[in-house]
Amino acid sequence: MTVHDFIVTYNETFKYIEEKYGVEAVKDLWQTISEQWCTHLDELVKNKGLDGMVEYWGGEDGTLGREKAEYEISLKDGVFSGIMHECPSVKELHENNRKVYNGKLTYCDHCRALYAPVAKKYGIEMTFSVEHEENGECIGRCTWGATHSL
Amino acid sequence: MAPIKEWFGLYNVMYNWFEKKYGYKALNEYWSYITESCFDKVVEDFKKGGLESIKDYYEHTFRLDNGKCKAYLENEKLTIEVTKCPDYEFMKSSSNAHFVPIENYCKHHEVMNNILAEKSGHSFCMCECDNDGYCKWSFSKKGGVTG
Repeated sequence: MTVHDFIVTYNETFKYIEEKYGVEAVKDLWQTISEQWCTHLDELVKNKGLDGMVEYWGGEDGTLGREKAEYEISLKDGVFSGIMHECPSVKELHENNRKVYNGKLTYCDHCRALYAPVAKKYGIEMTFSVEHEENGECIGRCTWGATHSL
Repeated sequence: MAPIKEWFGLYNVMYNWFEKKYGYKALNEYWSYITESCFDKVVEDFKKGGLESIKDYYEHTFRLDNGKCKAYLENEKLTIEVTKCPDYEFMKSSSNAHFVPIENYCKHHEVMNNILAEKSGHSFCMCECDNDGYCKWSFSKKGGVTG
């Protein structure tokens, strides 16, 4: 499969797994992805802490830059903050007339599930705030933050 | 939206998760579901445009992903020889141990292409595959020659 089909298939994968195997299986997949795929974020946070997060998401070489997301990232006084104005994944799903996964979990829950456990390993707590439609579907705007645990 | 190459590794992580947790049959069912639910437009294009359309689609797709393929359409048979598989190129270049392609990684092409071919009135054959980034496919109009 081409990576150009990835977001549509990723979204459909979550629906399929919840329907066929239950919501715990979706959580299990996300935990596996966090452990096995997020190794670059893990390495950056391990070596550079919050600066590693800026490097991971921000800049032209960061994942969000390469995905052409509309976002802002800042790191000030030990607090990392991110604002997603238009999530490229949700935008892609809407452009393809796909219903964004909105079951017992939502598409946007996968970000928290993937990234927060990585940060936690290094004493960093992450927060996520996602905007939803009235029916609970993600609309592609969120904020996320991180700071060292006290 | 622009895709990132790390998603090739993520496909592999997901396939591995499926197979380890539920077995190869479940992984196969998952590929079938994804093909049935996400590739309607591709099927329609294949139906309308026939082998020419399949040739265009794969040449375009491999070019987009920075892979390489040679496609020949002769005697109502389309042969696509993948000489640089973008999935393998990326995964081989990565130091992530979980990006070593699973044994059945390439099978997704066979499962998915069989469905796309069937639904658009064609036959598909995975004629060669070295499970290392080289493979040769063929498509024929249903009732024609494959292999």
